[in-house]
Amino acid sequence: MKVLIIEDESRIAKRLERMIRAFFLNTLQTIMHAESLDDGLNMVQEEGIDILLLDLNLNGENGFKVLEKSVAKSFHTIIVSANKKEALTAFSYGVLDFVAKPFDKKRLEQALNRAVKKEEVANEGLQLLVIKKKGNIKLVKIEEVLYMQGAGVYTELCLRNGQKELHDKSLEKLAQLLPKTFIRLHKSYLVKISEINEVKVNSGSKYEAVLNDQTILPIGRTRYKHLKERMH
Amino acid sequence: MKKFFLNIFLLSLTSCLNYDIDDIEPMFKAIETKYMKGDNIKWAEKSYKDNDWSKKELTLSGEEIFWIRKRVHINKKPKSLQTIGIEIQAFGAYEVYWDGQFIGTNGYPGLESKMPKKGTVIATFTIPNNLLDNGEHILAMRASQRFEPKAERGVYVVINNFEKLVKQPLLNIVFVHILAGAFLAGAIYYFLLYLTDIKKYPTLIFSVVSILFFSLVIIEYLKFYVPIHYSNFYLRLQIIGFLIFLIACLVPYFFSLQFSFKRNKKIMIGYAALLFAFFLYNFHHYDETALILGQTMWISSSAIIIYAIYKGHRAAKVILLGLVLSFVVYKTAIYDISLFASFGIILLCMFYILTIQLKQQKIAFEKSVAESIRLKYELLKKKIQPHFLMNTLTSLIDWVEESPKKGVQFIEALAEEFDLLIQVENYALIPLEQEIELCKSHIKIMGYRKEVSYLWEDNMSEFHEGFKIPPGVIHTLLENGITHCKSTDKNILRFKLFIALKRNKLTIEFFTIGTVRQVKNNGIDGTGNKYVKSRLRESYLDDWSFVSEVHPNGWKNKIVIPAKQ
Repeated sequence: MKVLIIEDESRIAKRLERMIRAFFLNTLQTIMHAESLDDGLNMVQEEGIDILLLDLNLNGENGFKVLEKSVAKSFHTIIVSANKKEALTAFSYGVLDFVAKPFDKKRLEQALNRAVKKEEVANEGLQLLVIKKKGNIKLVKIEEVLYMQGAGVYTELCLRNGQKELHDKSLEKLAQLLPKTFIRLHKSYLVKISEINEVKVNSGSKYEAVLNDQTILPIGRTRYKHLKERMH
Repeated sequence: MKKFFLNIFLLSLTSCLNYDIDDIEPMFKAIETKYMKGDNIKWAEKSYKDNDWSKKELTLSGEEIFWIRKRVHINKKPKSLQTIGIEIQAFGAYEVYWDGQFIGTNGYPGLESKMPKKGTVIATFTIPNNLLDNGEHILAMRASQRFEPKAERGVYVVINNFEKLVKQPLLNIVFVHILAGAFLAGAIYYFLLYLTDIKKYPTLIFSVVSILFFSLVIIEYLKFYVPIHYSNFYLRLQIIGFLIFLIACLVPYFFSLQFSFKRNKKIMIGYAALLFAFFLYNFHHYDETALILGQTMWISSSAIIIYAIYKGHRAAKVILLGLVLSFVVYKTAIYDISLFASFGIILLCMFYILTIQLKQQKIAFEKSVAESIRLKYELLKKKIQPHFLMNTLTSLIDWVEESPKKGVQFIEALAEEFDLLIQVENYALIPLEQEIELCKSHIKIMGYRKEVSYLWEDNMSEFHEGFKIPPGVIHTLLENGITHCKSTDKNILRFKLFIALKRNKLTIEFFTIGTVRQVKNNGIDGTGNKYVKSRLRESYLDDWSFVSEVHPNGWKNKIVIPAKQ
């Protein structure tokens, strides 16, 4: 596990580090600390990370911009902030968790567990998916997304207008962040339930979902039962 | 809207005043006046032939007796029980005869130097009804003019119902005096306001102009109820002229002050000199002088107001309307009334501006009170806003868990900072030493949080006198310094405060010595700088300067304020 802490309060950064070390024990590969997002992201480029712990109020930096930059990345972002008011915005941008200061060991471990156990937390607050396109930040509204297809370490977002966008996060990671309106059809597909028009059963127990726009997506054998339950 | 009704009121007032001696249906007609030096009681007779008498006023040398005969035509015989009077306006002490019959005296002709001063400019007598048949009559006056022998004033008469003659001027006076009284009250009110509250020249000028206007009205109408000896007649006119001169100087000056006219003083001195030249040049033409001065005042005031409208002053439009109205009134009413009514309107215009200004001052005051309260809360908020409080508490928890002894010291530092804050929160200015204490306690806390050695230096020991500054100003610059600058390699961040006193100005230079972080929002004031500026404005209005910029060794702030101890 590789963890990056971006926090300009030295004492708090040390506290986070100590708790993270205690949590991961020998599964922790690296733990880094930076005082600003730019410094931190420079570190990331050299060495990929799995979890970012981010303070939103860094020495005069605009927390909003910091948030946009970090959620577009492949790793999960956990916000550690003094300002609870920012929680809603943070969730709408797709952060994995929001830990309010002052925090204790238990609360931080809860957040780390979400990242480790890959449990789907059903983030109903998510409204935007932030993607990086040609070096710029682009915001995609979650209601514009019909389905998502895993593409290696990336995910392809298929939008209502027929366009496709690439997100740096894997399908597994996105699945953890999405609201309940999305369902996993297949190990490579996540679809919005309301978009499924029909479920076809073909010969040889091959299941297929026909979407409102006539797109046909395969349904994994193990997922069919679950889908049926959700659709009724 | 209020102004509109005031104008309507004034117009209706002037229409009430629009009474003139000539307007009364005349029962008589003055035909001609003749003069002769010498003394003969027969000259009073109606039948006396005065063909060789002079039709021109005489030039006299001293107390010699001379006679005046005025032929008057009675158009309409009065009713039997009516008392008919004759009002005479003339210079001198005289006896009056009507068709040879003695009807009264006004002073002691020929004895003016020996007897008490008597001989008013206006005198009224009754005429026996039996001497008022239709046709021609003779008014004869045996007179001397010791005090103004060279004044060639004519003799003017009005014959009318005696009661009307006496009452009508008083009715005039009532209305004009109501107007004058209003301005007297205004003058006193604004003078007191100037003394106790609004120490601004326009307030004083308005008060002075009001009292001048009041005096002008009183002196102008004084002749109707105070007997004025003919020797004082010119004195009264001179006073009136002088009062108008002062008003004509002050009114445009008032407008120029109100609408912040450029190069005010020079123009106004030139203008006053011009008025004075008119005043001297026309010295003995009293009515003309008054008119010229009034007109000059009107033109220059209008010029200022038009300039003010051009400059975008909203109130100026209403004033221009008032000036136009005053012009209309001036043109349509007769001399006495026109002057007072138009002056009155201009004074109301001035009154209007002051009222508007008072309202603006009130709004500004309320704003400043609200601003002071806002600043107080902003100062307090610094310590309870989540970024400071929650980060401090998180660090504190960590210290307590790691090293309870240090944790206690941290809590003590925090208590000290809150205590200092509570001491200063209610003041707009606090001793500089107290502000420095606040800063030092802040870096102590930040030291526990950031684990950086913050070092403080100042040159306060060079000064023995105590200076005052707004609370939280250097403290805010300190917070900015911590945000803007990284510590050096040795994990040290230095702060230096330099105070300098020069020509009653206090210069505060505050440096953060460290590495400047990338500045994200260059050119835009952060909340910190806004707080500093608001505090400086609150205490010093526009008399301050504040610069905050990158410096080769870190960050530099410079504040210059008036030195207050």
